[in-house]
Amino acid sequence: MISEQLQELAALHALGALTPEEARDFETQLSRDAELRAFYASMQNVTGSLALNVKDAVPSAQLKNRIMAAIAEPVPQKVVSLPHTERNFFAIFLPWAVAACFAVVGGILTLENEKAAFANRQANKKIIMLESAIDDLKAKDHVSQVQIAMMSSLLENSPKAVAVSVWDAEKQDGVLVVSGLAPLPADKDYQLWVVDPKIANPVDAGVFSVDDKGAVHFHFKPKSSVSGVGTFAVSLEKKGGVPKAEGPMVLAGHVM
Amino acid sequence: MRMSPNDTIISDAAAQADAELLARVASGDRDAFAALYDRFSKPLFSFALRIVGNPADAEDVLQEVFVQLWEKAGQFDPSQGKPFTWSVTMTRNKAIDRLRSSQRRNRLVEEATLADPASDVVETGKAIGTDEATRIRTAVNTLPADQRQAIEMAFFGGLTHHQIAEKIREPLGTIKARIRRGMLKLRDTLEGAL
Repeated sequence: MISEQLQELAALHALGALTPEEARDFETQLSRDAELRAFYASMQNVTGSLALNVKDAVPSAQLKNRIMAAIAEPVPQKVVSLPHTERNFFAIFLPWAVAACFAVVGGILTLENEKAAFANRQANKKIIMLESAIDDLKAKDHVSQVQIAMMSSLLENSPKAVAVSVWDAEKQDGVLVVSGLAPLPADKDYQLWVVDPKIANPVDAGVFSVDDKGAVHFHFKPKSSVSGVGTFAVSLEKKGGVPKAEGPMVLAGHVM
Repeated sequence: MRMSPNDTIISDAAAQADAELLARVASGDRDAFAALYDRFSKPLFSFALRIVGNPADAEDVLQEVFVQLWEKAGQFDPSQGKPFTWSVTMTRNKAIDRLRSSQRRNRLVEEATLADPASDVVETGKAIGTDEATRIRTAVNTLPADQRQAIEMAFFGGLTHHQIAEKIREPLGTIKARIRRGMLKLRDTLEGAL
Protein backbone atom coordinates (compact mmCIF):
# COMPACT_ATOMS: atom_id res chain seq x y z
CA MET A 1 0.00 0.00 0.00
CA ILE A 2 1.44 3.33 -1.03
CA SER A 3 1.13 6.08 1.55
CA GLU A 4 -0.76 9.27 0.72
CA GLN A 5 2.48 11.18 1.02
CA LEU A 6 4.16 9.04 -1.63
CA GLN A 7 1.08 9.26 -3.82
CA GLU A 8 1.32 13.03 -3.58
CA LEU A 9 4.98 12.99 -4.55
CA ALA A 10 4.28 10.65 -7.48
CA ALA A 11 1.47 12.86 -8.76
CA LEU A 12 3.58 16.00 -8.37
CA HIS A 13 6.60 14.43 -10.06
CA ALA A 14 4.50 13.23 -13.00
CA LEU A 15 3.27 16.80 -13.43
CA GLY A 16 6.80 18.19 -13.11
CA ALA A 17 5.80 20.10 -9.98
CA LEU A 18 8.59 19.01 -7.61
CA THR A 19 11.69 21.11 -7.05
CA PRO A 20 14.90 19.56 -8.45
CA GLU A 21 15.96 18.43 -4.97
CA GLU A 22 12.57 16.88 -4.24
CA ALA A 23 12.60 15.19 -7.64
CA ARG A 24 16.02 13.65 -6.96
CA ASP A 25 14.89 12.32 -3.58
CA PHE A 26 11.74 10.90 -5.12
CA GLU A 27 13.71 9.23 -7.93
CA THR A 28 15.78 7.49 -5.26
CA GLN A 29 12.65 6.18 -3.56
CA LEU A 30 11.28 5.18 -6.94
CA SER A 31 14.34 3.07 -7.69
CA ARG A 32 13.75 1.02 -4.54
CA ASP A 33 10.02 0.42 -4.72
CA ALA A 34 8.34 -1.55 -7.52
CA GLU A 35 4.83 -0.77 -6.27
CA LEU A 36 5.63 2.92 -6.27
CA ARG A 37 6.99 2.66 -9.80
CA ALA A 38 3.74 1.10 -10.98
CA PHE A 39 1.76 3.87 -9.31
CA TYR A 40 4.03 6.51 -10.81
CA ALA A 41 3.58 4.96 -14.27
CA SER A 42 -0.19 5.34 -13.86
CA MET A 43 0.30 9.01 -12.99
CA GLN A 44 2.47 9.45 -16.09
CA ASN A 45 -0.29 7.97 -18.20
CA VAL A 46 -2.62 10.62 -16.81
CA THR A 47 -0.22 13.39 -17.83
CA GLY A 48 -0.03 11.82 -21.30
CA SER A 49 -3.81 12.20 -21.51
CA LEU A 50 -3.73 15.73 -20.10
CA ALA A 51 -1.38 16.72 -22.92
CA LEU A 52 -4.08 15.69 -25.37
CA ASN A 53 -6.70 17.95 -23.77
CA VAL A 54 -5.65 21.00 -25.74
CA LYS A 55 -6.94 22.80 -28.77
CA ASP A 56 -5.91 21.10 -32.01
CA ALA A 57 -3.14 22.76 -33.96
CA VAL A 58 -1.07 21.69 -36.93
CA PRO A 59 2.61 22.53 -37.47
CA SER A 60 3.66 23.99 -40.80
CA ALA A 61 4.31 21.58 -43.64
CA GLN A 62 7.94 22.73 -43.78
CA LEU A 63 8.68 21.60 -40.24
CA LYS A 64 8.94 17.93 -41.15
CA ASN A 65 11.47 18.74 -43.88
CA ARG A 66 13.42 20.90 -41.45
CA ILE A 67 13.58 18.11 -38.91
CA MET A 68 14.46 15.43 -41.48
CA ALA A 69 17.26 17.70 -42.70
CA ALA A 70 18.45 18.26 -39.13
CA ILE A 71 18.81 14.54 -38.46
CA ALA A 72 20.57 14.03 -41.80
CA GLU A 73 23.47 16.20 -40.70
CA PRO A 74 26.55 14.09 -40.11
CA VAL A 75 27.16 13.07 -36.53
CA PRO A 76 30.09 15.03 -35.10
CA GLN A 77 32.94 12.55 -35.14
CA LYS A 78 34.97 14.15 -32.35
CA VAL A 79 38.14 12.68 -33.87
CA VAL A 80 41.25 14.73 -33.22
CA SER A 81 44.21 14.41 -35.58
CA LEU A 82 47.39 14.49 -33.60
CA PRO A 83 50.84 15.53 -34.80
CA HIS A 84 53.16 12.61 -35.58
CA THR A 85 55.14 12.85 -32.37
CA GLU A 86 51.98 12.82 -30.35
CA ARG A 87 50.76 9.84 -32.37
CA ASN A 88 53.75 7.89 -31.09
CA PHE A 89 52.85 8.82 -27.55
CA PHE A 90 49.25 7.97 -28.34
CA ALA A 91 50.20 4.58 -29.77
CA ILE A 92 51.83 3.78 -26.44
CA PHE A 93 49.07 5.26 -24.35
CA LEU A 94 46.01 4.08 -26.29
CA PRO A 95 45.93 0.50 -25.00
CA TRP A 96 46.08 1.82 -21.46
CA ALA A 97 43.41 4.43 -22.15
CA VAL A 98 41.10 1.86 -23.70
CA ALA A 99 41.89 -0.52 -20.87
CA ALA A 100 40.94 2.24 -18.45
CA CYS A 101 37.67 2.67 -20.35
CA PHE A 102 37.02 -1.04 -20.19
CA ALA A 103 37.85 -1.06 -16.50
CA VAL A 104 35.19 1.57 -15.95
CA VAL A 105 32.82 -0.28 -18.24
CA GLY A 106 33.64 -3.63 -16.70
CA GLY A 107 32.96 -2.36 -13.21
CA ILE A 108 29.70 -0.87 -14.28
CA LEU A 109 28.60 -3.94 -16.21
CA THR A 110 29.50 -6.19 -13.28
CA LEU A 111 27.33 -4.04 -11.08
CA GLU A 112 24.57 -4.39 -13.63
CA ASN A 113 24.64 -8.15 -13.31
CA GLU A 114 24.14 -7.87 -9.58
CA LYS A 115 21.07 -5.68 -9.81
CA ALA A 116 17.85 -7.36 -10.67
CA ALA A 117 15.41 -4.62 -9.75
CA PHE A 118 14.87 -1.59 -11.89
CA ALA A 119 17.91 -2.46 -13.89
CA ASN A 120 17.45 -0.28 -16.91
CA ARG A 121 16.90 2.97 -15.02
CA GLN A 122 20.02 2.23 -13.04
CA ALA A 123 21.87 1.34 -16.22
CA ASN A 124 20.90 4.63 -17.80
CA LYS A 125 22.28 6.51 -14.81
CA LYS A 126 25.51 4.59 -15.09
CA ILE A 127 25.67 5.22 -18.80
CA ILE A 128 25.46 8.94 -18.09
CA MET A 129 28.28 8.59 -15.57
CA LEU A 130 30.32 6.56 -18.03
CA GLU A 131 29.73 9.09 -20.80
CA SER A 132 31.05 11.72 -18.45
CA ALA A 133 34.12 9.62 -17.63
CA ILE A 134 34.79 9.00 -21.31
CA ASP A 135 34.35 12.70 -22.08
CA ASP A 136 36.98 13.40 -19.46
CA LEU A 137 39.35 10.96 -21.11
CA LYS A 138 38.59 12.48 -24.50
CA ALA A 139 39.24 15.95 -23.16
CA LYS A 140 42.70 14.78 -22.23
CA ASP A 141 43.19 13.29 -25.71
CA HIS A 142 43.58 9.88 -24.12
CA VAL A 143 41.04 8.30 -26.40
CA SER A 144 40.80 10.89 -29.12
CA GLN A 145 41.36 8.46 -31.97
CA VAL A 146 38.59 6.08 -31.05
CA GLN A 147 34.85 6.49 -31.10
CA ILE A 148 32.62 5.05 -28.45
CA ALA A 149 28.96 4.08 -28.50
CA MET A 150 26.90 3.11 -25.47
CA MET A 151 24.24 0.60 -26.48
CA SER A 152 20.99 0.11 -24.60
CA SER A 153 18.58 -2.79 -24.61
CA LEU A 154 15.56 -2.67 -26.90
CA LEU A 155 14.03 -5.73 -25.26
CA GLU A 156 11.52 -5.81 -22.45
CA ASN A 157 12.75 -9.22 -21.31
CA SER A 158 16.41 -8.10 -21.09
CA PRO A 159 16.16 -4.56 -19.77
CA LYS A 160 19.52 -4.75 -18.05
CA ALA A 161 21.42 -5.62 -21.24
CA VAL A 162 23.98 -2.94 -22.03
CA ALA A 163 27.02 -2.76 -24.26
CA VAL A 164 29.87 -0.52 -25.19
CA SER A 165 31.41 -0.43 -28.64
CA VAL A 166 34.86 1.07 -29.05
CA TRP A 167 35.66 1.78 -32.70
CA ASP A 168 38.96 2.72 -34.30
CA ALA A 169 38.05 4.39 -37.61
CA GLU A 170 41.65 4.41 -38.80
CA LYS A 171 42.17 0.70 -38.33
CA GLN A 172 38.56 -0.13 -39.22
CA ASP A 173 38.14 -2.45 -36.27
CA GLY A 174 36.79 -2.35 -32.78
CA VAL A 175 35.75 -4.12 -29.62
CA LEU A 176 32.27 -4.72 -28.32
CA VAL A 177 31.77 -5.35 -24.59
CA VAL A 178 28.37 -6.75 -23.67
CA SER A 179 26.64 -7.58 -20.43
CA GLY A 180 23.21 -8.87 -19.55
CA LEU A 181 22.12 -10.31 -22.89
CA ALA A 182 20.08 -13.50 -22.81
CA PRO A 183 22.09 -16.66 -23.59
CA LEU A 184 21.21 -18.06 -27.01
CA PRO A 185 19.77 -21.34 -28.25
CA ALA A 186 22.16 -23.43 -30.37
CA ASP A 187 20.64 -22.32 -33.69
CA LYS A 188 20.99 -18.55 -33.06
CA ASP A 189 23.72 -15.92 -33.00
CA TYR A 190 23.83 -12.26 -32.13
CA GLN A 191 24.99 -10.18 -35.08
CA LEU A 192 26.63 -6.76 -34.87
CA TRP A 193 25.82 -4.09 -37.47
CA VAL A 194 27.61 -0.84 -38.19
CA VAL A 195 25.29 1.87 -39.48
CA ASP A 196 27.03 4.35 -41.76
CA PRO A 197 24.63 7.10 -42.91
CA LYS A 198 26.38 7.12 -46.29
CA ILE A 199 25.71 3.42 -46.93
CA ALA A 200 22.21 2.21 -47.73
CA ASN A 201 22.25 -0.89 -45.52
CA PRO A 202 23.90 -1.57 -42.18
CA VAL A 203 27.29 -3.24 -42.60
CA ASP A 204 27.77 -6.71 -41.15
CA ALA A 205 30.40 -6.69 -38.40
CA GLY A 206 30.22 -10.36 -37.46
CA VAL A 207 28.37 -12.71 -35.16
CA PHE A 208 28.94 -13.54 -31.53
CA SER A 209 27.38 -15.39 -28.64
CA VAL A 210 27.47 -14.65 -24.93
CA ASP A 211 28.49 -16.67 -21.89
CA ASP A 212 26.05 -17.90 -19.25
CA LYS A 213 26.14 -14.45 -17.63
CA GLY A 214 25.21 -12.81 -20.92
CA ALA A 215 28.66 -11.25 -21.34
CA VAL A 216 31.25 -11.16 -24.11
CA HIS A 217 34.28 -9.18 -25.30
CA PHE A 218 33.97 -9.33 -29.08
CA HIS A 219 36.68 -8.02 -31.45
CA PHE A 220 35.05 -7.05 -34.72
CA LYS A 221 35.91 -5.82 -38.20
CA PRO A 222 33.11 -4.80 -40.58
CA LYS A 223 32.85 -6.83 -43.78
CA SER A 224 33.25 -3.66 -45.86
CA SER A 225 34.85 -0.28 -45.23
CA VAL A 226 32.83 2.35 -43.38
CA SER A 227 33.67 6.03 -43.39
CA GLY A 228 31.30 7.63 -40.89
CA VAL A 229 29.89 5.38 -38.21
CA GLY A 230 26.68 6.76 -36.73
CA THR A 231 25.17 3.84 -34.89
CA PHE A 232 25.98 0.34 -33.72
CA ALA A 233 23.18 -2.21 -33.44
CA VAL A 234 22.89 -5.87 -32.49
CA SER A 235 20.21 -8.16 -33.88
CA LEU A 236 19.25 -11.74 -33.12
CA GLU A 237 19.82 -13.90 -36.20
CA LYS A 238 20.10 -17.51 -37.30
CA LYS A 239 23.41 -19.31 -36.60
CA GLY A 240 26.26 -17.88 -38.66
CA GLY A 241 24.51 -14.60 -39.37
CA VAL A 242 22.76 -13.10 -42.36
CA PRO A 243 23.86 -10.60 -45.06
CA LYS A 244 20.99 -8.22 -44.21
CA ALA A 245 19.40 -7.93 -40.77
CA GLU A 246 16.24 -10.02 -40.51
CA GLY A 247 15.74 -10.66 -36.82
CA PRO A 248 14.72 -8.34 -34.00
CA MET A 249 17.09 -5.59 -32.87
CA VAL A 250 18.20 -6.20 -29.31
CA LEU A 251 20.72 -3.42 -28.69
CA ALA A 252 21.41 -0.08 -30.33
CA GLY A 253 23.34 3.07 -29.61
CA HIS A 254 24.78 6.10 -31.34
CA VAL A 255 28.43 7.06 -31.45
CA MET A 256 29.16 9.65 -28.77
CA MET B 1 2.79 -4.64 -35.46
CA ARG B 2 -0.08 -2.99 -37.32
CA MET B 3 -2.60 -0.76 -35.66
CA SER B 4 -6.25 -0.69 -36.46
CA PRO B 5 -7.91 2.65 -37.22
CA ASN B 6 -9.67 2.39 -33.86
CA ASP B 7 -6.45 2.32 -31.85
CA THR B 8 -5.85 5.57 -30.02
CA ILE B 9 -2.50 7.19 -29.48
CA ILE B 10 -2.39 6.16 -25.82
CA SER B 11 -3.82 2.64 -26.17
CA ASP B 12 -1.63 -0.34 -25.32
CA ALA B 13 -1.70 -1.48 -28.95
CA ALA B 14 -0.54 1.93 -30.12
CA ALA B 15 2.16 2.00 -27.45
CA GLN B 16 3.52 -1.36 -28.61
CA ALA B 17 3.56 -0.25 -32.24
CA ASP B 18 5.22 3.03 -31.27
CA ALA B 19 7.85 1.15 -29.24
CA GLU B 20 8.65 -0.92 -32.33
CA LEU B 21 8.95 2.28 -34.38
CA LEU B 22 11.30 3.73 -31.77
CA ALA B 23 13.44 0.60 -31.87
CA ARG B 24 13.80 1.06 -35.63
CA VAL B 25 14.59 4.73 -35.13
CA ALA B 26 17.32 3.70 -32.68
CA SER B 27 18.96 1.68 -35.43
CA GLY B 28 19.00 4.71 -37.72
CA ASP B 29 15.83 3.99 -39.74
CA ARG B 30 14.73 7.33 -41.19
CA ASP B 31 11.49 5.92 -42.57
CA ALA B 32 10.52 4.83 -39.07
CA PHE B 33 11.41 8.28 -37.80
CA ALA B 34 9.22 9.91 -40.46
CA ALA B 35 6.36 7.59 -39.46
CA LEU B 36 6.84 8.51 -35.81
CA TYR B 37 6.74 12.18 -36.76
CA ASP B 38 3.47 11.64 -38.62
CA ARG B 39 1.95 9.98 -35.55
CA PHE B 40 3.16 12.34 -32.83
CA SER B 41 3.72 15.73 -34.44
CA LYS B 42 0.17 17.10 -34.28
CA PRO B 43 -0.64 16.23 -30.66
CA LEU B 44 2.84 17.25 -29.47
CA PHE B 45 2.68 20.51 -31.43
CA SER B 46 -0.78 21.26 -30.02
CA PHE B 47 0.53 20.55 -26.53
CA ALA B 48 3.65 22.69 -26.99
CA LEU B 49 1.53 25.51 -28.41
CA ARG B 50 -0.73 25.36 -25.36
CA ILE B 51 2.31 26.03 -23.19
CA VAL B 52 4.45 28.45 -25.18
CA GLY B 53 1.60 30.33 -26.86
CA ASN B 54 2.93 31.01 -30.33
CA PRO B 55 3.40 28.70 -33.31
CA ALA B 56 7.00 29.69 -34.05
CA ASP B 57 8.14 28.80 -30.52
CA ALA B 58 6.03 25.63 -30.58
CA GLU B 59 7.72 24.55 -33.83
CA ASP B 60 11.15 25.18 -32.33
CA VAL B 61 10.18 23.06 -29.34
CA LEU B 62 8.90 20.31 -31.62
CA GLN B 63 12.09 20.34 -33.66
CA GLU B 64 14.20 20.00 -30.51
CA VAL B 65 11.99 17.16 -29.29
CA PHE B 66 12.19 15.18 -32.53
CA VAL B 67 15.94 15.64 -32.84
CA GLN B 68 16.19 14.37 -29.26
CA LEU B 69 13.96 11.42 -30.13
CA TRP B 70 16.29 10.61 -33.04
CA GLU B 71 19.35 10.78 -30.82
CA LYS B 72 17.92 9.13 -27.71
CA ALA B 73 15.54 6.53 -29.17
CA GLY B 74 17.87 3.77 -28.00
CA GLN B 75 17.41 4.88 -24.40
CA PHE B 76 13.65 4.39 -24.40
CA ASP B 77 12.66 1.71 -21.90
CA PRO B 78 9.21 0.19 -22.60
CA SER B 79 9.01 -1.07 -19.03
CA GLN B 80 9.01 2.53 -17.79
CA GLY B 81 6.14 3.86 -19.87
CA LYS B 82 4.70 4.49 -23.29
CA PRO B 83 6.54 6.19 -26.16
CA PHE B 84 3.91 8.92 -26.43
CA THR B 85 4.08 9.65 -22.69
CA TRP B 86 7.89 9.74 -22.94
CA SER B 87 7.59 12.22 -25.80
CA VAL B 88 5.10 14.32 -23.83
CA THR B 89 7.59 14.58 -20.97
CA MET B 90 10.33 15.72 -23.37
CA THR B 91 7.97 18.24 -24.97
CA ARG B 92 6.79 19.62 -21.66
CA ASN B 93 10.33 20.03 -20.34
CA LYS B 94 11.48 21.91 -23.43
CA ALA B 95 8.31 24.01 -23.64
CA ILE B 96 8.49 24.92 -19.94
CA ASP B 97 12.15 25.91 -20.35
CA ARG B 98 11.08 28.26 -23.12
CA LEU B 99 8.10 29.47 -21.13
CA ARG B 100 10.27 30.31 -18.14
CA SER B 101 12.23 32.73 -20.26
CA SER B 102 9.14 34.57 -21.44
CA GLN B 103 6.39 36.67 -19.96
CA ARG B 104 3.69 34.30 -21.10
CA ARG B 105 3.97 32.25 -17.95
CA ASN B 106 2.26 34.89 -15.85
CA ARG B 107 -0.64 35.04 -18.29
CA LEU B 108 -0.96 31.26 -18.30
CA VAL B 109 -1.08 31.12 -14.55
CA GLU B 110 -3.71 33.86 -14.49
CA GLU B 111 -5.76 31.93 -17.04
CA ALA B 112 -5.58 28.77 -14.93
CA THR B 113 -6.51 30.74 -11.83
CA LEU B 114 -9.60 32.19 -13.46
CA ALA B 115 -10.61 29.16 -15.48
CA ASP B 116 -14.21 28.01 -15.36
CA PRO B 117 -14.00 24.33 -16.26
CA ALA B 118 -17.58 24.02 -17.41
CA SER B 119 -17.21 26.77 -19.97
CA ASP B 120 -13.77 25.86 -21.21
CA VAL B 121 -14.60 24.31 -24.55
CA VAL B 122 -11.53 22.76 -26.09
CA GLU B 123 -11.55 21.74 -29.70
CA THR B 124 -9.73 18.46 -29.63
CA GLY B 125 -10.13 15.32 -31.60
CA LYS B 126 -8.69 15.77 -35.06
CA ALA B 127 -5.20 14.78 -34.00
CA ILE B 128 -6.05 11.91 -31.69
CA GLY B 129 -9.53 10.59 -32.47
CA THR B 130 -12.83 12.08 -31.42
CA ASP B 131 -13.86 9.41 -28.91
CA GLU B 132 -10.57 9.61 -27.08
CA ALA B 133 -10.66 13.40 -27.03
CA THR B 134 -14.20 13.35 -25.65
CA ARG B 135 -13.25 10.92 -22.88
CA ILE B 136 -10.29 13.03 -21.84
CA ARG B 137 -12.20 16.31 -22.02
CA THR B 138 -15.08 14.88 -20.00
CA ALA B 139 -12.70 13.52 -17.36
CA VAL B 140 -10.91 16.85 -16.99
CA ASN B 141 -14.12 18.88 -16.95
CA THR B 142 -15.66 16.75 -14.21
CA LEU B 143 -12.78 17.55 -11.84
CA PRO B 144 -13.60 20.00 -9.06
CA ALA B 145 -12.38 23.44 -10.15
CA ASP B 146 -9.74 23.72 -7.43
CA GLN B 147 -8.18 20.37 -8.36
CA ARG B 148 -8.15 21.17 -12.05
CA GLN B 149 -6.66 24.58 -11.39
CA ALA B 150 -3.77 23.18 -9.34
CA ILE B 151 -3.04 20.45 -11.92
CA GLU B 152 -3.08 22.89 -14.84
CA MET B 153 -0.90 25.44 -13.08
CA ALA B 154 1.68 22.71 -12.56
CA PHE B 155 1.46 20.92 -15.88
CA PHE B 156 0.91 23.77 -18.31
CA GLY B 157 2.30 26.63 -16.24
CA GLY B 158 5.46 24.90 -15.04
CA LEU B 159 4.95 25.89 -11.40
CA THR B 160 6.15 23.81 -8.47
CA HIS B 161 3.66 22.99 -5.73
CA HIS B 162 5.38 25.58 -3.55
CA GLN B 163 4.82 28.26 -6.19
CA ILE B 164 1.19 27.23 -6.67
CA ALA B 165 0.54 27.47 -2.93
CA GLU B 166 2.11 30.90 -2.86
CA LYS B 167 0.29 32.07 -5.97
CA ILE B 168 -3.19 31.16 -4.81
CA ARG B 169 -2.48 31.67 -1.12
CA GLU B 170 -3.38 28.22 0.09
CA PRO B 171 -1.42 25.96 2.47
CA LEU B 172 1.11 23.69 0.77
CA GLY B 173 -0.60 20.60 2.17
CA THR B 174 -3.87 21.66 0.59
CA ILE B 175 -2.27 22.01 -2.83
CA LYS B 176 -0.56 18.63 -2.61
CA ALA B 177 -3.81 16.96 -1.53
CA ARG B 178 -5.78 18.64 -4.34
CA ILE B 179 -3.28 17.48 -6.93
CA ARG B 180 -3.22 13.93 -5.60
CA ARG B 181 -7.00 13.67 -5.49
CA GLY B 182 -7.36 15.23 -8.94
CA MET B 183 -4.79 12.94 -10.53
CA LEU B 184 -6.33 9.86 -8.92
CA LYS B 185 -9.76 10.87 -10.15
CA LEU B 186 -8.44 11.41 -13.66
CA ARG B 187 -6.69 8.06 -13.60
CA ASP B 188 -9.82 6.26 -12.47
CA THR B 189 -12.03 8.03 -14.98
CA LEU B 190 -9.62 7.45 -17.85
CA GLU B 191 -8.74 3.91 -16.88
CA GLY B 192 -10.71 2.43 -19.70
CA ALA B 193 -9.05 4.69 -22.20
CA LEU B 194 -5.44 4.14 -21.13
